[in-house]
Amino acid sequence: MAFRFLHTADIHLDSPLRSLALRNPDLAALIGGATRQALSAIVDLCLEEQVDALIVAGDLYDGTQTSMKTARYLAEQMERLHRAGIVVYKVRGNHDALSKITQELVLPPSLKLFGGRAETVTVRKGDIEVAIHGLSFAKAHAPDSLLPKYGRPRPDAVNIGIMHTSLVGAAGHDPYAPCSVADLHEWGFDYWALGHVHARSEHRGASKVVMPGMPQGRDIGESGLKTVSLVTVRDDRTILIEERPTSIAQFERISVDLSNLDSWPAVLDGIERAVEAARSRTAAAHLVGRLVLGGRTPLAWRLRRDSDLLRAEIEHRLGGAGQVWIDKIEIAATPPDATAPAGGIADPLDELGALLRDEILRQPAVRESVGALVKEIRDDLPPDARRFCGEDEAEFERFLDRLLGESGAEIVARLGQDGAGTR
Amino acid sequence: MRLRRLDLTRYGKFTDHVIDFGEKVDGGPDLHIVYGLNEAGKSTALSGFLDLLFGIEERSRYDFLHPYAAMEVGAVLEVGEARHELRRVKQRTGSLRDAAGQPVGDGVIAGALAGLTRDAYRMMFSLDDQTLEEGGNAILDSKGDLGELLFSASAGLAGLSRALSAVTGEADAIFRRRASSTEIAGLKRRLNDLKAEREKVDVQASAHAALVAELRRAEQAYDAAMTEHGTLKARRDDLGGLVRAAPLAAEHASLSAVLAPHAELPRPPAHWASDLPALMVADATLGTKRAAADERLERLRAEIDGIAVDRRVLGLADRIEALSLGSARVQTAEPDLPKRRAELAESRSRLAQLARAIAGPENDADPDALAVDAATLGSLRGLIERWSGVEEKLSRSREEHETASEAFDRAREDRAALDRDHPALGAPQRAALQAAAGRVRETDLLARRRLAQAAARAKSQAAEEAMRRLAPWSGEPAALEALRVPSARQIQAWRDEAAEHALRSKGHCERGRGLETEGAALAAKVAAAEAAIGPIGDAEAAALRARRDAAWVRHRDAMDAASAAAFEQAMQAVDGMAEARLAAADRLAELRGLRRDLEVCRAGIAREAELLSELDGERSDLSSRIEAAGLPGSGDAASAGERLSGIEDWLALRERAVAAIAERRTAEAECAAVEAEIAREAGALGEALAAAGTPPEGLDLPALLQAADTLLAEDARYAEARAAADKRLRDDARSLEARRKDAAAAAGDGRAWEEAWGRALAGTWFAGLAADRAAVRAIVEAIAGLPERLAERDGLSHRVEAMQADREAFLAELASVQAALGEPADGTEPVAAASALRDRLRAAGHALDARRAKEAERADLEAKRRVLLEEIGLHDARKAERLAFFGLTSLADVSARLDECARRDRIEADRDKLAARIRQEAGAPSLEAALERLAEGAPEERTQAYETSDRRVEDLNERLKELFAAKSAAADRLAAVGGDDAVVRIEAERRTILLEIEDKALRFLHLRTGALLAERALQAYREKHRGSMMGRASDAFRAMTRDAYAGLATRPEKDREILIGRPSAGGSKLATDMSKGTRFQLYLALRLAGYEEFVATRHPVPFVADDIMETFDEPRSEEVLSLFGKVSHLGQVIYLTHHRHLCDLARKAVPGARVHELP
Repeated sequence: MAFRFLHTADIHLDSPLRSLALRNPDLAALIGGATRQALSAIVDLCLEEQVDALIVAGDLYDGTQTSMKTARYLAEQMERLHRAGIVVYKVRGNHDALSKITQELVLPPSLKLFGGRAETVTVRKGDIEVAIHGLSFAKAHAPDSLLPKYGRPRPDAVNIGIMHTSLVGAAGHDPYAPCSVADLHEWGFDYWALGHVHARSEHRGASKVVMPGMPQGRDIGESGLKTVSLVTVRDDRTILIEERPTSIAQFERISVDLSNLDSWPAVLDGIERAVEAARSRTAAAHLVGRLVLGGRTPLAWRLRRDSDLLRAEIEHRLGGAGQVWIDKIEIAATPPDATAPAGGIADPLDELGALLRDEILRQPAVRESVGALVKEIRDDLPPDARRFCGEDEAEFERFLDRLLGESGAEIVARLGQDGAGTR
Repeated sequence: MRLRRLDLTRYGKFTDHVIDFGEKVDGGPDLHIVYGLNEAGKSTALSGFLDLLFGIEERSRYDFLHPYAAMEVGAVLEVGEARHELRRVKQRTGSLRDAAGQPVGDGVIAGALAGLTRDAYRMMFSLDDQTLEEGGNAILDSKGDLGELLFSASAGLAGLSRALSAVTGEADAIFRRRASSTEIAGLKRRLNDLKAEREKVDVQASAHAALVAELRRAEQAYDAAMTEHGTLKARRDDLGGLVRAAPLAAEHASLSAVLAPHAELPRPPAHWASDLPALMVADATLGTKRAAADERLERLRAEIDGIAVDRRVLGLADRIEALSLGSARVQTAEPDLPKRRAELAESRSRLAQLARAIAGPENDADPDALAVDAATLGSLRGLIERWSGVEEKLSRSREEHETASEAFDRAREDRAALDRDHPALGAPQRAALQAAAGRVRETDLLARRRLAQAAARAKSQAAEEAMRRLAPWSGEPAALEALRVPSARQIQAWRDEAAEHALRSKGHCERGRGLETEGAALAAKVAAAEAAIGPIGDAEAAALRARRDAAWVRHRDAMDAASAAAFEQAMQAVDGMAEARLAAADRLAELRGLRRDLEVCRAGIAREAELLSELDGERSDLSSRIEAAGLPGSGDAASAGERLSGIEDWLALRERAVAAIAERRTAEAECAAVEAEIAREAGALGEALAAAGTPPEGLDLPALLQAADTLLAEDARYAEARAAADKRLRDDARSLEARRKDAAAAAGDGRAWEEAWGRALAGTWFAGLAADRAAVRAIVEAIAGLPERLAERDGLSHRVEAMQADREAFLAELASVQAALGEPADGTEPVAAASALRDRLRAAGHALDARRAKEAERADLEAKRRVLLEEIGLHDARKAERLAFFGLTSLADVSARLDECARRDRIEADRDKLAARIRQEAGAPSLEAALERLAEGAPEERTQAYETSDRRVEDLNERLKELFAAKSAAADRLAAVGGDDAVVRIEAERRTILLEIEDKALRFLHLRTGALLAERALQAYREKHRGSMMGRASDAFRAMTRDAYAGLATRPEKDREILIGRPSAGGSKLATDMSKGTRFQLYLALRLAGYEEFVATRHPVPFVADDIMETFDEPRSEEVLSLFGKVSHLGQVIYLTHHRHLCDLARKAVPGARVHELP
């Protein structure tokens, strides 16, 4: 009789999706509560698969989460598991530790919440004894490894460890309970149920070390298929790990090469083909795609000038393409290489462009004016909408560089086109 | 780049139309007026030119005559010194071709155009009404901004200002500080709305905690109030009870006083009071009832004794009843008996008649003996009915058997006749015949013979023809085949030799000719060199020296002045010659070299001639060798090669003739083979026919084949007939057998019937008549009624006997009864006697019944009297008990005493009820305790205390209601914190709006930054180009306005510079203040200046204008054309027009302008 459990983490319940695609009210209605749908899908899966337990390795909700409706919904879902006799083993991550709703939460008695000191719980299923070790973040920060605080493996039992950790971490990010995969393998547990990193990873070795990733991506940075792990501990103590998709909406970058497409309809066709191909690769009910248009095409400037029209036409075309939504269109396409003669191209527009690039952009006064303009609008925006121009001085300067370069290219293209009508 | 010629090969309405712009005339203008009426194709030509340069457009509209695949436009372009003839077709790749049709890269054009695109070229170097109009408007839009004007005139872009202000407008729509109608302001408002919405529906964790605390507080307050309420209410209720109990206690005391006098009254059983009225009634009635009963009993006894009963008659009651029945029967039978006896006699007489009818009058037979049992009779009847069927079947089957037998005999006869008249072919004969015929047909010998003969004829003709072709050779085929001919290799060797000869000869001739040419050239050069050098050649020098020497000799001889002068002259001539020769030493050396070369050349020529003559010898040798082969075809050919060709041709003809002869031989052999085969097959077929009994007599193969076919067909037909006859024979045999079986079955049936017939008759009295079936049938029919008659007779006889027996029994019984009763039996009137007996019995019965009824009544009455006596006893006892209880003597007194007791009991009950209420109200276990409590305090105080506490309880009730409501509300508020997603949705929208704000902000920044950068760039452009362009534009403007304006100037204004016109009359005029036409001219002036600016630094390209002077008056038009003429010195200018007068005007203004007319 096998012991089966579902392992997930980082649900970030009720944390909103970040995509301009949600401007479409239909889509907002469909996937506005995507993290909720992911949680209920996980609970559904637990019930369908009749697992013995659900393991949540931290960050069930966001630290900034203050709505008791979130807590109430969470409690309802846990109650469903409780009624079905499925035990929940949960540790708190950095976000849960911060959250104010934690204290107010009333959870069913079958939910085992591990505290700030490591604990071990044992259960028996048939001939298998399973020891579950867990430890919660007491505070939002855990600069040191939590591993030494865990108990040693119980002999004769299948040992499962639950830990919220950034593993070795990523440069530029605060480490959260850092520890190395090698150390985890050495600890002697059979399965490490990890959480914190939003992308899935499995580290095979002496034991199974699994970071399941979040069950629902929230923006283009959290793109790709999102899953949970369905784990079966067999009678012979071997462990089978299956991935099960959970996200209702999947974010994907869709690169489209527009090379050799020299008419507007051809570009639309090309984009449509690429999107349909991406759709056919996507398992989730909704695909939220960021189009990255590249390649060399004579329409490069027109795409920039008419990007809103482009978006509208693509969305219209995708109306029938089965739950595909456009997050944003990034235009990286460039005009075809003109065989510029030695003396440069004779077009005054090119001359103007060259003047702009080589002289105007370098004038400190211009940069200063533009910088002032950026600050003017930035300071007028709500604090949550100010990050686009960088978090510090260096980022601000980089933003200015990019803004000047892009704006210059755009305005030259636009003058050429609008000035001539068809040009 | 210059357009030398435009070929509208297949383009739009044009087919193979060429516009030749001709050479550029040095120093002359390069202005071309292309004249054509409306729809003549001016625009088409311009488009064709652009398509040539940049490729035919994807969706060209010039395919209405020539489809895309056929479209072609060509041109001769002059780029610098080079000239390119090019064509353009409509294709995705390799659309540009050279004159030979080979694809060439676009590089040659792109280089000449300095990388301009189609649009750029069109905008910059072509002008039409519309661009002029837009340009004029652009001047207005830009408000005279110099940078913009210079740039837009150079680039041909008109809508620059509009584009820039559109950008700014777009940016302003997104964001303006403190503006409330911008997109960002709208989004911010929506954010605030969402915040409010969220606050309305959401419960924060902190608020949740407060709600929980509030609920807890409300619950505690409610619980405390409840407790107090309970205490207070208990106290109030206690006091209330005491207050209510006090008056009850007083009432209790007064009732006790009323009861005191009745203390001695006894307590009778409770039911006595209710029983008493009935007791008193019984006391009055019971004695009367007993007296009446005794009197009635006495009367009944007397009545019973008065009734007498006849017991003897009653003892014989059954027999008397039976007698009365028998009397009735005797009475009925008395008249019937004689009638029955007559019927019996008649029946017997009829039976006797019937017996005689059956058995014959002579036989006085006993009818009973004649009867036959029913089974036998049934069998006989059945057999008689079946007889006719059996008989009919017998005769029919016999007839059918005979018919079938006859048919069978006939069929057998027919079959035998077939064998006799048309005996079948034996299987071997038939097989042999079929095989022989089949083989002939399969091998198709006859057709083959026809073909072979035809082939032989054709081949023979072909061979003869081939032989004829060999003329002039003639002879027999055998001679031809035997002829020895040179091998192909030999001929090839000769040919190679001849070819080598020809080659060598040609080489010698060519070299000879070359040498002769060279020689001639050298001779000419020598002559030329000599001429050039003049008479200073070696010969001339030698001659001069000779003259000098002669002069010297003469001078030496004469020694006079004249000779000296002559000598000096000669000396000078020699010196001059020497000097000249020294000076021309090189040329002399060259001359000498030339002369040497000439000599060498001449020697060469002689050698080649020598070699040629050697070759002629070899050639004639070869010819003679070929001749020696002695073959025709060599005829009188001129050369060995031709001769060899002739020989080869003849040899080829010979080959064909030899082959034709061989083929003829083969065909003839084939003919013979076929004939032999035919003879063989005819023999085989003849034999087969003979074996089949039809010997052939001199028939050929087709006839034999026909005979065989006929024979086989007949045989097959008779075989079919035989098969049919066999089948019929078999059918008839089967039929005969079936008929025979039928006949046998019918005979069997006949026999079976006879046996059954015999068996049925065996036991009957008429068995002897078995053969006479009609007689038997008659007897059977007659005998049918006999049993019925016999039964009828027996029945009658039985009834008569029974009637007589009844009568006798009745009389005997009557006598016996009468004897028992002791009455005399006279035997007369027995019926009346029986009737009298019955009456006597009936009377005795009635008396007995009456007596029994009275006796029953008496017994009943006696029982009732016993009951009454018991009742009287009981009554007396009860009465005595009551009287004794109270010590009284009458029941009336007892009644009065009982009433008294009842009143006392009621008062006591009331008092007990009061006591119970007092206990209850005072909350005491007993009345005494209650009364003690009542006695404890003063009633007034108690009442006052009660009222106080009652009011407090009321107050607390109100408070409790309030607290409960508060508690419920708090609980409701907590319960209302649902797990719904209202907040999530608001947050999702808020997040999206924040993203949108960022997106809009970025868009705003791009637009505003772009506008800023563009303005600065235009200023920079102005700085760079104003110097060169302003002068040119000013001059052009002055010329075009015919000096109405002295030129153009600028005026600074803030960070801009404004273009102004300087009217000749003085002052200045803003471009925006000029008339529309003047603005057009200003724009044209700027465009021309832009063109000159371009030409100044680049290769010129053709400038094309399409009828732009619709609004210009004639003088200004002339000026413009004149300006075009001037510009055309820098680069080619093409002006398209449909105005004839412009052509003349152009010729006048620009002598040298060329006019091209479109058809």
